[in-house]
Amino acid sequence: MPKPTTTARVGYLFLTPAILLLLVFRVVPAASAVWHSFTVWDGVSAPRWVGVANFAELLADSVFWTAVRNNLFVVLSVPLWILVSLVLALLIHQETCGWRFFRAAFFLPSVLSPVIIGTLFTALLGYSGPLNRALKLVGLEGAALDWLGNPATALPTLILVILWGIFGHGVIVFLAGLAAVPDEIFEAARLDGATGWTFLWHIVVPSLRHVIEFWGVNLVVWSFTSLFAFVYVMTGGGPGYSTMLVEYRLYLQAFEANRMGYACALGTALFLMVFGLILLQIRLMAGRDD
Amino acid sequence: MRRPRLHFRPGRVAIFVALAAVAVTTIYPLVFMVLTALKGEAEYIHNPYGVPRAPTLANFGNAWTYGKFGQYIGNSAVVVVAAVAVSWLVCSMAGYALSHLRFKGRRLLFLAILGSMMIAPQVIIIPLYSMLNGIGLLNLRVGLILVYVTLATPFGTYLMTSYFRSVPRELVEAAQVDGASHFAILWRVMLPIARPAIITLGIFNFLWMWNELLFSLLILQTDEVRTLMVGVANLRGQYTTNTPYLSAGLFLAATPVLIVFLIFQTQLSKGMTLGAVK
Repeated sequence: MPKPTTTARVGYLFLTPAILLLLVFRVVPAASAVWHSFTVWDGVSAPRWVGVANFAELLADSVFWTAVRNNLFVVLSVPLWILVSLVLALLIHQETCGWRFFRAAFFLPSVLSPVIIGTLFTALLGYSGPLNRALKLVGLEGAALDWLGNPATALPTLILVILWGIFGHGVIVFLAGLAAVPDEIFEAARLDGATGWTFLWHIVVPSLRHVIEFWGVNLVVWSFTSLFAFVYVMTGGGPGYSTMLVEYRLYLQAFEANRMGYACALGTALFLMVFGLILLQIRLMAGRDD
Repeated sequence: MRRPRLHFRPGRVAIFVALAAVAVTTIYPLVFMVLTALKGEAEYIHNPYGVPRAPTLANFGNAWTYGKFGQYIGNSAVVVVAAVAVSWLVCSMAGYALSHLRFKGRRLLFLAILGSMMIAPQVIIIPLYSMLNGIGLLNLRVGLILVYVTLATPFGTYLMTSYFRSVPRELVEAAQVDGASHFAILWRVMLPIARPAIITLGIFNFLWMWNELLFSLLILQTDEVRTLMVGVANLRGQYTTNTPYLSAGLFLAATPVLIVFLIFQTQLSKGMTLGAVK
């Protein structure tokens, strides 16, 4: 039997690849990003230290604030995303005729790449695309809007497409949660005559509190950090800045405008925005493990 | 397993209709994509919704050769297969160490690995890009593979550690008494038991890596190494008017994940709900 010291050595050895990768490709770049956010840098020549100038510019940058406002608008839609998934999960959970099929059908979009979803819906929602042609066919000329080309409808449309891509994942999460709730709780509520919204609000939501928390935090973090592909494919942040998000502004400043230093400041700001949320996310994921 | 039948809502028929309506919104766009891909450009203009009257595979052929989708699919496959395999190795080793080997700082390292998730990928793209450029890994598939494995490490290590923890200590101790090395124990004792976790991790990683855009866009910029999703994203600008061609490209890009979805739906939903329910 190996000696304890050997065990320790093997332990460190087995962790080396994971730690090394995380250090080189995640921790060091993060530190570097923070450092570079205090510089003017084009990514090629040597960065020049400018103190907090980038952050001062950031605070005065109206496009940044538009992006923040758009991000918050997305976050405001998160309760709707949760509600849609929760209600659908509840309906499936009762084993409505064909529930297996519905579960698969709802789950389907969430395995597709945002790139595919975004490209497909850009084609479907184009001004002379299939949706508008169908609307005109049934005489709803007035409803045939330039969904993604109009500043008033672009962001809500984008959010609906994202919802299409993600709600099924939520359904799966809530179904897993519902499966862990003892049958008696719902049975008792039924005998007490709880119906509709009362049932949803007073019985289901409390029993699934942790799952809803988990999923809600996940969605908020996603809405700050995982929508790049949707914006890149569908709107490019436009028209105007109507669908500009912080992460997309960062990308444009870094790789279109070559303002790497300023983009790093945007990254630092983004980090500060989501840092607390991700901490909460990790705690919800692992905290109750111990 | 019997689930409780609740009777709190208006009627089964109404619910069925509502669920069916939502199912139509998820399935119809994909059906539209397939039907459109089978039409010629001329037919699509007159018949955008119906079944193709003169079905053609020309769009697929064009996307495969002229659109270079064949090449892009190959590039994506190389990157994803390698990253999934390396991630299995890295996360299993880390998971075994964190669950069955006692050493100082074990808990701290576990938390540090999980904690690295706090660094959102967007925050690091610029230094990462410049670093990969500096060490000559830009436009090399190995660069993207290393980045993918790194991004997969916190969650993968968490998954493997949680699974290995459920393996009884006695099994490991018995193997040690027989003189097996830790690597042999991991390989011959733990991994066979942890098959479900291995499959879940592999499928989960395959899915997001295949679908990922941002890092592949930045790291693999030349045409020879370009991945599929970047190819798809570029379609948009070039062929917005040729919807059948676009649809064929989308169908080719979606097919691998749709196949995985049909075969591994259960494992996939396990991976995607991990951490939600205790």
